[in-house]
Amino acid sequence: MKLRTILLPITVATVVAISADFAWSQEFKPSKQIEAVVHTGPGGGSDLLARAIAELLQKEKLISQRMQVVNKPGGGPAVAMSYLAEKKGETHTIGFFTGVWVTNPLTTVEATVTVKDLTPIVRLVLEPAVIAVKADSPYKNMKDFIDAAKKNPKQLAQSGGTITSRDNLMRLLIQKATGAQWNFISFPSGGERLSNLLGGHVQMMVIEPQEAGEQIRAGNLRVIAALTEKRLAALPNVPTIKEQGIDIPLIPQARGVLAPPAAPREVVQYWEGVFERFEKTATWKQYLEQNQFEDGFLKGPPLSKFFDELTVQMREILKEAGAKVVR
Amino acid sequence: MDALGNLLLGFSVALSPINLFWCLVGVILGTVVGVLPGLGPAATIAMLLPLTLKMDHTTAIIALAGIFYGARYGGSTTSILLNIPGESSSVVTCLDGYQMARQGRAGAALGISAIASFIAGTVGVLGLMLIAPPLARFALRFAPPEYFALMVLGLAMVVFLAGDSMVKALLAMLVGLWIATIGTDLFSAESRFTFSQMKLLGGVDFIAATVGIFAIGEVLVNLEERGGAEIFKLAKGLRNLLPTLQDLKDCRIAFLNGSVIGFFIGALPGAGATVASFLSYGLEKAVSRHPEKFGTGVIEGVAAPEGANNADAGGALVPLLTLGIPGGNTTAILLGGLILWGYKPGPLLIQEHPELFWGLVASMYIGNVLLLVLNLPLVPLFAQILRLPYYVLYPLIMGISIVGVYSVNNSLFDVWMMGLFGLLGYLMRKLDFPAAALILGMVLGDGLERALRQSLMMSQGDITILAMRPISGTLLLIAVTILCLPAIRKVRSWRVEAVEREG
Amino acid sequence: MHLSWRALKTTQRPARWLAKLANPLETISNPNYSQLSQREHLVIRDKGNLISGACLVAFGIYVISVAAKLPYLADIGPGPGFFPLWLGIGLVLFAAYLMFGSVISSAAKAKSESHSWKGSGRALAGWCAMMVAIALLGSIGFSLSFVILTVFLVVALDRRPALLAVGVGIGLAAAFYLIFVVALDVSLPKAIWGF
Repeated sequence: MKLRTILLPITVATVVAISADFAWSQEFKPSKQIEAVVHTGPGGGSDLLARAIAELLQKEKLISQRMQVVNKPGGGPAVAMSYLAEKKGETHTIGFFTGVWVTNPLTTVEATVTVKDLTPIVRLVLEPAVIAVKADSPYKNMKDFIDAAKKNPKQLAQSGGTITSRDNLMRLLIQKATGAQWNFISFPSGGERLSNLLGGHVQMMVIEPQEAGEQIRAGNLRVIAALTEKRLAALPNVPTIKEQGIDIPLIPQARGVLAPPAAPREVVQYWEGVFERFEKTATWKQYLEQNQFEDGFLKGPPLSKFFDELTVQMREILKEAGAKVVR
Repeated sequence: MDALGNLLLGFSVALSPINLFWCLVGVILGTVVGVLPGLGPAATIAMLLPLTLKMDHTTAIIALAGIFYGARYGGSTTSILLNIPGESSSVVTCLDGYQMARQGRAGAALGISAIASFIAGTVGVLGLMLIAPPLARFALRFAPPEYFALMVLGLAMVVFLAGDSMVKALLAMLVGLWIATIGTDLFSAESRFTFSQMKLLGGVDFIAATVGIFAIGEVLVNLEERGGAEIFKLAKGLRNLLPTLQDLKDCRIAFLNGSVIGFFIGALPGAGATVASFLSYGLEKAVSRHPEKFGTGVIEGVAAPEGANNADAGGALVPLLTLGIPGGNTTAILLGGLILWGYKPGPLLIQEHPELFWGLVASMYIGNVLLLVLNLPLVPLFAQILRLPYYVLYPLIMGISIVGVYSVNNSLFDVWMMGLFGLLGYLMRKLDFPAAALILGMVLGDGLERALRQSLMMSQGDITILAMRPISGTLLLIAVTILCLPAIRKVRSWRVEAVEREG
Repeated sequence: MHLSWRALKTTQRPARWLAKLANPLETISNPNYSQLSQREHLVIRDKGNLISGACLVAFGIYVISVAAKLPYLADIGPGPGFFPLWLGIGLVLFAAYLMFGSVISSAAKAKSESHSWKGSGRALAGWCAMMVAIALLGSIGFSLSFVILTVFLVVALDRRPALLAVGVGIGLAAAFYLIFVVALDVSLPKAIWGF
């Protein structure tokens, strides 16, 4: 009797362990709903992108389970990153990152989770930016604006996000390179930034070409520089900032996918595979075109290198910007 | 007459069976979502976006917009019956609506809320149809100084929310303003008053705070007496469950007030429906013959804010459809939807896709009628909730509060916050500090500080910019006048007393 | 101010006032609450004002202390410390005024009855029960915590039969589950047993 009561559980445990190990070494396939964590509320940039990608992935039948977007806003990306970190070991959770996931922990003490803690899966998009002014303003190119700014130091204004946002960092880089100075006024939402520019209360802003596109078409805005390496396909007549003689490092706004810390190899490989196939689909290419995103596909070691380099670059720029860098 | 022709085009689109059906679905869903505290139209619309890909685009925007403005109808239900704000813009409705319910006039409150919402919603659509482009251009003239003046005007409403003790109202407002500062500072990226809590970096969740103060606070007050406080009397008979003709007459100004203020504030990007409802409430109290009765269950105090938050929905569509600028969260999702369907929202949208715009406008007229028809008969049904014995009602309120607050961000932290604010609400009630003033501070604090700093950045530190610009100067003048009113009244009453003594 | 001092001299004597303020038990737990004199109502209200005023002064000082550590001015315009600093100052000033007013209030100003603190023990017990339920949400899930909370409210605070309490609790919890989790696809805190 006694022997059996010991042997039975041991046997069961061994069988379970072996089969688990067996399953472990097999390919990963999601068996329940997938959670996609975003750091904005519904309607924010990341939220819309995640929902679109979820929809397109399901449409292309690249994933067999439903992908559910989970909004975890708060403190920029801090709450979402912390949530993702807590999901360590959970194989059905991923997170959609943006550039702010890299910069926010550098300046915020309470944001204890950094991108290095999480597992990079893939970078999907690079969002270009352009510099726009009101169409009836006297600035036809960067030179005009810089000259005006030099003549009236600290009189002109730019609308943008927080002082650690790309908008301001680009402003600081340009200021440093040209010696001009102008003010920066923060507005929490893109709508307000744009409406203040259209209302003439600020003179320029850094904006995504997709947002600016319709205003340009309607004749309200003029783009005077593209903050990219090469000219944008949609705006072939707009010279890049480098072409206009201002040589500054270009901060990319990247978007992609991360997984919880120490994600198992099989899970990483699964997602890499999914997104590799996804990148080749026509629907994705159409989506990129619609939103004027650049395809920034990157995975594996180059992706980790990208994060490391970006972190170092951001730290440098933030320090120069006078922001309190805590990490 | 161009508008009329376009409107006819719109109706021909909106009256098609498919569009009618989805309009109905949208407004019903919106009402349900609005009734439930916590769950908001933004999340619902975002969840349904994938479904809309399979629809005709006009149908899709009709349905999603139906959710958007339908939610504004439903938000007042739990505000009136249970003192739980169903939407953030329904917070103000709690003030008088719940008091009316306690006096047995829940039906009248719910009814007037539906009627005011209908009138203001229709005015909003009218405005959208007739003056959207010029209004959008006018709204562009609103820069930070104007927003600042608007916020100051809102805070001047404290004068009207004061009740007995001005000092206590001011203190409550200051605490509310302080709560608004919790989180990461927009301009400097410094964290303020976060007590090293990461979850507070985004500030205190508004729904958690208001549900805590109003709903939980109320439950706690009622728990004091064994057997519950004398609970709601419910009027008998269907006629008594709806607003009377006298009620409708009393609310004449409130209907106008709510419509105009709501629509106008809605057109300003960044100002929200909550601001609109506070301003409308304050204005109504200002022009009322019996301002001191506000807060005790005055029907205009329900009609004005409820109308305002409905007109605001129409107003919010103005910058979205005429300029491609989203004014708030929900309109941002609608913008995302438009882009997803392949449109390019911007100044040329209406010109290039008239059937989309006019079909939507026409469907909103229809939607408002549908909502009125749906909501009014439901009033007696909803009012029956108050028949529940208090030992079912109080756990129910607590349960709805917890679930509602949790569902906003799936965050237990928010629920904890709600609990703390519940205690605060209870203490404030016992010590006679007006909760409305605190909420006002919370709502306006963010906008006020931000607008001030933005204005000073615009003027390089010159504070006179606030008074020099015509619009902001005018608004500030009105605000100062309002602030001086109690002093003026006091001087007048002294004079009257002096005359009487001598005579 | 002028009026208040006059009122104080003619209607009250400071010593008796302070004695009343210092001995709350006599007034607050008076079973004949509705028969308390106007003066006694005043005392309760003023003691409330005094304590809340004091708390707010302390709070205001805390706000000032934190705000002082933040930069007062930024490049252009106010910095993050500007607004909170002035809020703190306002709090201290107005709260001090409140405290002052509570000690020197005149009998003529008693417009309304003060609130009785008699039942506050029950209310606070209810609040504590709710906080405990919230604490349990993460571990035993919403439904169970809610049932426990309901049972406590109905049985302990209302002295109703336990069976009724459990019935109400389970009924409401089931309703919540059906409406929110099943019909609306909203996720509620759940335990390992799924609800």
